[in-house]
Amino acid sequence: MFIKTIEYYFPQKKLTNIDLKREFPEWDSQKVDEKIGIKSRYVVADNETSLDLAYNVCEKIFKNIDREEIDCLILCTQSPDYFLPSSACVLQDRLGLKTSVGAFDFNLGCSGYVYGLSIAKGLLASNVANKILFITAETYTKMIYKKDISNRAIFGDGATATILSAKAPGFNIGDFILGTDGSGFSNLIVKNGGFRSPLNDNPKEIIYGNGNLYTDNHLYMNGPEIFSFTISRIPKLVSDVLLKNDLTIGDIDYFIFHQANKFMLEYLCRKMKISESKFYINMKETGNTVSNTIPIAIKDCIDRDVFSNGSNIMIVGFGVGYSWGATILKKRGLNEKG
Amino acid sequence: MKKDRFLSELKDALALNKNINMNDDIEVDSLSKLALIAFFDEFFDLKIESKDLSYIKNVKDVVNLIGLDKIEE
Repeated sequence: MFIKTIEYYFPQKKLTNIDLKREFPEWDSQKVDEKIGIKSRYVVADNETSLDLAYNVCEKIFKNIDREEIDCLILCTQSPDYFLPSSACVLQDRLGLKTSVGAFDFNLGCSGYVYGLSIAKGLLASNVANKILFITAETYTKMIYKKDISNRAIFGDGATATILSAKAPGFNIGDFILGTDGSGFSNLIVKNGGFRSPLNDNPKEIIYGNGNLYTDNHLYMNGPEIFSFTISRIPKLVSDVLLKNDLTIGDIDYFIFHQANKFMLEYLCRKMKISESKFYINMKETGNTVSNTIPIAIKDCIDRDVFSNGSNIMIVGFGVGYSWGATILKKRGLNEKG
Repeated sequence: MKKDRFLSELKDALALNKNINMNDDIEVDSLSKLALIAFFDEFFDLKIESKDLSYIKNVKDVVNLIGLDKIEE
């Protein structure tokens, strides 16, 4: 089962650290730039949604792929246009895909790309689908409180599209390790707006961290707890996925982890004794785009010709839930085995 | 860990400009909370809950979380 091609799309509006500094004069933009590794991020307009981003990235990928060949559409988002129907159904019609396409959404954040690949692999292996369009699309910035400088500095919006099929060439998808620990659900959450806790017309401002503000109608992230979960869970995930794919850490040519923030990634890299030259860190212009970060990174590496035929690439997703997953991609040409 | 090394590693972790001693106060913002979690994990294999970090006001508070017996004179 192979990844054939990837595209990404960002909204037009860019929010820089200079823009944020104007709104929050006391904010240490230099520290965020240096430690967190983010200088700017893309932000959707008020009338622009994850479905719009998804549509735009698909039209981009259809410049080189015949839409008639798609027989399954999978969309990963935590910022859908509607409670129902699923965005994938709306998108099928908007893109003019045939009605024999199977289409559905699933709700995961930073582990979403790895989970989506595992679902796609299963659908291809069981002959349910032959060519899958897998989309990630997020507009987390719509869920962040205006006065929450910490999260506004971290998250950005975007969408990606990946085409998958059972035939080489492409990136062969290896075996997966997936995992969940729902005990951490409240550490990254938008509490209000569902049926357990409806939107509050007059929500009170809550202080967290170093004077940050949010409300229960908006996104809350307990950064230290998320960091703590990540550094304790991910090293084991890495060793488990190596074992499952019968590889050692020395067999991996490149590591692409979810681009949460530079500080976290640098620490994980050091802790697992991975060479910096093999470890992807780049979120300077985009911020943390949730389920989009891994496909954006893979596409960036393809464009820069980072991978050779036979390269083993480990991808690792982790975050909200808590949820995590990893697999190995192997670049394979048309006539190569393995 | 020897006290001198502890102080030096803590200074580096928190990216402080000057040397620190056991009686110094430290300022813990959101980024230094991450740095402290990494520091506890890397040098003491300790997982600290974020609520415990809120109580850290000085170097002694850091030592109390690690355990006095882990720092040698």
